[in-house]
Amino acid sequence: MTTLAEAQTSSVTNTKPTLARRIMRKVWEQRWLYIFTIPGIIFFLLFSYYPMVGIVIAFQDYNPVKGYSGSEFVGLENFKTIFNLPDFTNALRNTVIISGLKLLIGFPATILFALLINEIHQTVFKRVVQTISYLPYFISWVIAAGLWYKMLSPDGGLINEMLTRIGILNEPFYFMGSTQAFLPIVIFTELWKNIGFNAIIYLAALSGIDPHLYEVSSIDGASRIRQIWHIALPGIRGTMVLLFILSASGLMSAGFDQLWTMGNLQVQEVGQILDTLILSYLRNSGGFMGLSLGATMGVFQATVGLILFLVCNFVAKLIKQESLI
Amino acid sequence: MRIRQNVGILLTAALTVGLVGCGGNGNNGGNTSNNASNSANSSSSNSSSNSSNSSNSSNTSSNSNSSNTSSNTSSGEIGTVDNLKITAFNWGWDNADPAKDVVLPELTKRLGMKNLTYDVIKTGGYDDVVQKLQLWASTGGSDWPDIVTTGSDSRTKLILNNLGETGKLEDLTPWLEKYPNVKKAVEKLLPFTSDPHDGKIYSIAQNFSNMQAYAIDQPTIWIRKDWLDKLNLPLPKTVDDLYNDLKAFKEQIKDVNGQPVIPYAAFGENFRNMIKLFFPPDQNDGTGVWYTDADGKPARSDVSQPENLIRALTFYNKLYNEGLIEKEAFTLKQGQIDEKGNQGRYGAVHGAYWEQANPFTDSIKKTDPKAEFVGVQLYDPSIASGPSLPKFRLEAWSLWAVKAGLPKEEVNTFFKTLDYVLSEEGTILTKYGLEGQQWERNAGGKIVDTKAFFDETQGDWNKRAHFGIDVYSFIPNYDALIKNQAPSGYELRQDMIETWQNLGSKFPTEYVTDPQRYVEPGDAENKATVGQSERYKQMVAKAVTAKNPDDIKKLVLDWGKNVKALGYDKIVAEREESAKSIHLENLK
Amino acid sequence: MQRSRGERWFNVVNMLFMLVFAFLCMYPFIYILAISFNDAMDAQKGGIYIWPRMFSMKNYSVIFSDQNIFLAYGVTIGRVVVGVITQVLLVAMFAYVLTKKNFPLRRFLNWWIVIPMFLSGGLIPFYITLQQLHLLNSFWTYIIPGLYGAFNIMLVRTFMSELPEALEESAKMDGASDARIFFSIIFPLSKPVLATIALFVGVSHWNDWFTGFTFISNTKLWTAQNLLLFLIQSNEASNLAVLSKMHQGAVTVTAESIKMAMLIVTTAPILCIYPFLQKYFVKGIMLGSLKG
Repeated sequence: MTTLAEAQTSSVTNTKPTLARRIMRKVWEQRWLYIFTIPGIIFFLLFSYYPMVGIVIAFQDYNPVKGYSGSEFVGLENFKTIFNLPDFTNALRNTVIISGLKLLIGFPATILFALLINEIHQTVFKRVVQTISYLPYFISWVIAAGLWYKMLSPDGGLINEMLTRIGILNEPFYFMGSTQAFLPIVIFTELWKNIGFNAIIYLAALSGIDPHLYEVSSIDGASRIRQIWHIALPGIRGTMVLLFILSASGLMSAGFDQLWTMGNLQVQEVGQILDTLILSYLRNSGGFMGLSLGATMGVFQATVGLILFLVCNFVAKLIKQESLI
Repeated sequence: MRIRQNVGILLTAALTVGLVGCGGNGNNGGNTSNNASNSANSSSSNSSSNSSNSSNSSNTSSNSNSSNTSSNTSSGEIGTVDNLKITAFNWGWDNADPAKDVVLPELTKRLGMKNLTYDVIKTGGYDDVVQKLQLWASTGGSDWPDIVTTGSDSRTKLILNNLGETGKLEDLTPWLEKYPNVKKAVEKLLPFTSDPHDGKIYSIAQNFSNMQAYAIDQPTIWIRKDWLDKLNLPLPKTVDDLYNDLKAFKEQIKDVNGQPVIPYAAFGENFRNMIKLFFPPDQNDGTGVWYTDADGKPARSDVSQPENLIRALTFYNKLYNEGLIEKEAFTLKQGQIDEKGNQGRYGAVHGAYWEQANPFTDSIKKTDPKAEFVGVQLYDPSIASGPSLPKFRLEAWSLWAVKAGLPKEEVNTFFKTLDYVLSEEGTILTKYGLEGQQWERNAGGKIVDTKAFFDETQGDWNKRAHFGIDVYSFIPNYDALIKNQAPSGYELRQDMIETWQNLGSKFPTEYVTDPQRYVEPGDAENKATVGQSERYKQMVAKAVTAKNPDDIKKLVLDWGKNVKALGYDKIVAEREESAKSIHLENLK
Repeated sequence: MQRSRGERWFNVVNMLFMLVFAFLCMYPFIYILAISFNDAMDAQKGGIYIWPRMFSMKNYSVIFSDQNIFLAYGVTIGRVVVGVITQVLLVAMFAYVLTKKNFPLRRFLNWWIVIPMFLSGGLIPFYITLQQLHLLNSFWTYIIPGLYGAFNIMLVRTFMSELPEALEESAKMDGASDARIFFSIIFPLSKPVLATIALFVGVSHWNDWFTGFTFISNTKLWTAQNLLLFLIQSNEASNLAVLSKMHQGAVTVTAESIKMAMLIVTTAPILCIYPFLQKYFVKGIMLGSLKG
């Protein structure tokens, strides 16, 4: 308040002090909002923006002993190296296909799953199913991949046993060695592992919907499907847009852990993605080149991600007046 | 982050194999006799690998208050300090338990010091060590401890040499002159550890391979001898014999459940196979192995000998198409191979590590008492007239480095400590503990565990480490170990004795003297070979599973063309140059 | 209330589907439990699907034989509790501000958090930053660099912006400050989404091993995940040695069996927490009660 008083007394002209005063008053009115955000601004400055100097590594022949200042600048050489990797095009295509499919199938499937859970009315059953459905999230991909390999094995694997016993297959099918079967397996296991956990976000959003809306529509005689369409979906629209935009901008990362553990030599033509390609390249490259190439890959993914983010955000704004920024 | 984690697993696996190989044989001073079942002994063989690891990355950071220099500082002679703190990395082994540790107090006493502290930095895996070193290096060495032992992968060597060249590490040359025992122990390895640019010694070997302590690690294949006996077949000698044996397995052998067997498990996660048999000795296939060809030029067999590679792949392709090889050869996880192996479904295996067949044998024996896998060395008659004993490649598994600018007295104390540990007395103390408490001599004069100590630790080297056993052996003295060790249960196993007979010897008798096998990859090679080994594996998988064997030739020739297009000739030139700085006179 | 036949069918099919799905999700855990309670050497032979064949507690006793495990669990619980409370509070406050259309910094703040979601400097500069801030090797290494999560902020913001504006406006009329509105209206109303991010943050704190291995050298500050992963490493290592040198007397566990037991030990506690958070996801309780 003293500042305001000072501003008043020190005023010479009529217009200027009123402007400053107005601004100061505005700031003062919103003081809590500033207080709420200042720690966050500092946090991101320190832990995100300040370390971003490291991006120069992507443009250097980086040597950690010499540091950023001592390492040699190579311009876009690292990008050239990455784009010229022998399997780059293949991996890029696979990345787009796999994460595209995950988005196209996984995104609606998760919403559907959340809606279905929400439609269960037996509370105990609902809770139990919900709890169980998020179990696989906690199994690391290494273990999960091992389990699926075992179950899908043509040599005594549970699934082949079952399919041959009930006569769907005449002889065991070699799932993990088949380039046709690989993509469906990847999508399915991804859903199996993460759908329960991801659905929690939607369940939370669904529980934010005003129950009066349901009551009113029930009285009006609306069917369950109508309720879902007219109440539940609009109620979680914001969350849907947010998650869609974010997953769409992750198009360049198709799930490293999963593909690294599920992939194998026989399905690499459909299963090799950018992240696994880079790692398999770095594994047997000596020197410090890996540091630069890793950073380069990161910059590439971030650039594509940001562009996709902006495009999706713009489209969402255009269609639904929903946007993230 | 995930990327790093996985690299870590790989590196750790690779490293431990090496270390186990070393430690195991370097120090088989087990304790036979005191247990009815001969298998429950041979403790120290593994504890030695324990030490190799737990002390693998050690650094002595002397306490700031430790500079009370003692006595003989006069007349140019460098004195010692009473307090020395040694820190070490550990990526997977137990530490000494201060309450139980008998070795460190004794070591301190014998060295005439007040305080020798051994402080261990645990990390997740070997890769976490490399990463930590990299991070330390990137802070300008300010985090870097006073004396470090690191791994010895090429990246770590590069970090050390870079730190050395920028004046952050001590040139150890004068210290080696002052302590000839230390020099003698690491001398052979100096050509690979000294800085290629300025020739100075910024790191010395901490743990390293030794020919006399290193059982041969490549019997080509393990085969079910009991099945061969049943079919009246001799042990195979050539790859063609093997083919016939596998065929006989497939047609005539049923497993305990009456099911047909899988004749041969090859490849798998670890890509074990015998493609290298189709090449001249020490010109192994694969993308990482270079040799000097007849013209004195560096060469790599996958490019320089396509005809041999085609023959090898055609052989495997035949096995695959006739159902003699595991159908899931290229997708099996190691766990699945283990399961099938333990169930007795395989007729021949490589396994992940060369002794893998031993546990298979033990496991199958419970239901099939005659079961036995025996290792044999095969050859390809079109290229050799008999099996050859593999040569031995000398390498350092971990390295010491000392920060520049430390008080001379501290470095001196450190070297004095190394020197003592290298003596026979010091070796016995650090590897076996105290006489009468942890060990005693058997009738043959060899060191074995005392009964009480064996009962307490059951040969588990993590438990032995709690007593300080095999934790403080900073540099191994193999001669002393070989002189004192008692044979382990492993060495007394029937299947191992037979295997060594088949191989002709237990130890290699000659060093690899081809300088190309010791050259570190340079910039051109690092750039031109990214991802090559992965692509090579894919090519092999394609060739082996090809429906039409005629495709193989095209695959191999295309492979060679691709490798050349990616800069093979540049690597040849680079390697030719680097080979000049590798001096192997000591090995001849 | 009258239910159509179609709706009953829908219910039955829905429940059947959920049952099948639940089994699929459940099965790996049954398998892992069976292996973890089975003798390790026996388990290597395979063929265990639902029940242990040779019951053994050895895998668990190996895990809990390390005295440090209890300390490590203490550290883990400490970081989860402190980490969740601080992040939920800070994120909620930050997100609340982002819903204020008349706040001049709103656009800037949105960008401020979006960019780091895509761009990061990598590990080495991050390490150097922590070193300069003296944040290596301390309990706060677990907490401070993880105080905010951009994704969580957006999630909470989206939820808050869908709350009815009328509530806030009426409070404003009564002369309540932003802080008061936030703490007495918005924060309680956002419980479902805050429970969600509490779960996310808690799970990620619980599962994180990278921080401990990379930024912390003092093993007294290690979390349970660090200790257990180290245990697996040591068993993988010893297994090699053991397998190769036939220490039959000593072999009672394998890296594989320890891994399974560890999975149970590390997941069980977090699974137990879930039912307590679950009540916040049950449809609409808060809004109803507040309005009513």
